[in-house]
Amino acid sequence: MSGVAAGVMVVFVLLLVAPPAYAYVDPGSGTLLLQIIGAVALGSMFYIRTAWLKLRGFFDRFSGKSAAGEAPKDGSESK
Amino acid sequence: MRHADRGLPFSASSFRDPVASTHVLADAVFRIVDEGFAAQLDQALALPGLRPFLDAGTLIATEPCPTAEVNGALMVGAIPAQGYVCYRHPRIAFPSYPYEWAPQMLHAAGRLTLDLARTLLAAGFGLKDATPFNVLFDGPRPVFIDVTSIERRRPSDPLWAAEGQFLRTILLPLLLERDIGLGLSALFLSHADGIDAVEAGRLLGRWRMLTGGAFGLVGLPALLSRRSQCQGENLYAPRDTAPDKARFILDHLIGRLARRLDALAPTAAQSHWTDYVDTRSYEDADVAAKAEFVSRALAGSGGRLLDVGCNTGEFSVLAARQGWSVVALDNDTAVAGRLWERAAKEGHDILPLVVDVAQPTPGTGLFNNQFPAFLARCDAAGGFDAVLMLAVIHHLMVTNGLPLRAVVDLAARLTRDRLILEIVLPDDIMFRKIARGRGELFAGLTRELVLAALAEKFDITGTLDLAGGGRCLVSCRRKGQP
Repeated sequence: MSGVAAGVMVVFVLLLVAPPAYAYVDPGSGTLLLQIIGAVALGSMFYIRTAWLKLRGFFDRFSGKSAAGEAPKDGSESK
Repeated sequence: MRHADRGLPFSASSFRDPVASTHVLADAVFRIVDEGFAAQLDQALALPGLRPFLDAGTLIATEPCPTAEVNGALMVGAIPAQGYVCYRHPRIAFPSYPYEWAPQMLHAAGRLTLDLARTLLAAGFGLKDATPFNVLFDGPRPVFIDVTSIERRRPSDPLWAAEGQFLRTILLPLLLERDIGLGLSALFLSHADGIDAVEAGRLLGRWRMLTGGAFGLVGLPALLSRRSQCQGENLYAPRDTAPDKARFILDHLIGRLARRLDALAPTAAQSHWTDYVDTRSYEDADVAAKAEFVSRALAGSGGRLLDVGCNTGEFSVLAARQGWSVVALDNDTAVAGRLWERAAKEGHDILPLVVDVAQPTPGTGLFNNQFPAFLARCDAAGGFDAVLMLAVIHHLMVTNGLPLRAVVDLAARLTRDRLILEIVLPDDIMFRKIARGRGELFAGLTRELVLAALAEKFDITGTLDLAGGGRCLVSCRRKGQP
């Protein structure tokens, strides 16, 4: 069983055996907790994206320098 | 301290807001705002990103006005010249609330809220709350009215506190309406702040809340609600992160909510009445004659018109095309939803509402006056200039058991001038269908009896018999009108 499938199974089992809700439970707490979990996951994505953009920027600069080193094809550059 | 606790005039419509209070008068709406908050409100309203909303009329126009003017209008001297800034908004012609909307309208209100939230996020602002009560409809167009919900965000905050309210009041009601047919009136009249995931899960049933879109909206939050008790107060502690990371997270959160809203977009539902135009018992010649009669009775004027029992809305559209601003009522959600879609698409000035005029919406909220009753809103506007009651009084008398006199009194209360109604008599096939064997109760109901009852409050200006005498169109004006 993969990790994802195991996780889904755990959630299923928790739901099936979940205790009854009580009135004093803040109704928004589950949503907030879910948002916090999502924010942590998105925070990781943000770092991956930032690293990827930096890496791409590096290669763009590298390839950009190479392009700048080529002589213009229309020959407009004066000697 | 709320404004009322600082000696400012109390307002039932805005008592929760700690920095502002709103006062609705006959021809304008005044908003009193703390001076400190007004500075950021002015900055927000000047954002270029909000200009398209203001131009389209989906964000209420807001103009500063002198404190003295508000004191004069409210007939109080309670607002000090220092410490507060006053604003004026135009009045929305007829306020309506989510428990009177078709699901399509709640969906449109949710879409507007997210569009604003995303636009504000890009400029460093956000929405404090995300309830559909922040939106009114001007015709078919949603208008975001609660400008003091806009605030400057803490740049390092990666959470949107109003997300829970957006789920409770918009996404979950749409989900429950779609999956188990729970009407918005049933839900919002008993749950003004929406429904939480745990209760939604109980209504859906354990298996249904695990499937499809319901798992992320109901199953998982319900599970986490039960598990979050161990987090204690720590759950609500402010979170901080790098500002660009916080914005990235919030942008994705709003995007995810928008996708969930899209997935819950209501489809054109079917009901017994949605095909009425194709299945009604009229001859084509009668349909044309009826349209001509109504058109003539509405000619040469314009103003505010109430179409009671609008059905597919063909006469609401006819009136709107003649320059009337229409509020169209029907107790069938499906036909109101279809009419809203049509009005929005074709640009008709029609506000369709799911209201049963025999049991009109009660006043709700604080003192039963935070959201006034349907008839109180009609009275506040001085009544409508014209009322259509086409083929509806037999429903009121047979289905709802109203005496004829009560129907006439109701019509006289709703209109201040014109009334156009269609009498359906006991011999008509549609009357017999809804009478269901109780025909003898209405044996004495004749055209003449109805006209005599009307004549007590109205001057009859025209009649037209249809369907071989089984139906009669009547146009009249309130007594005393020039």
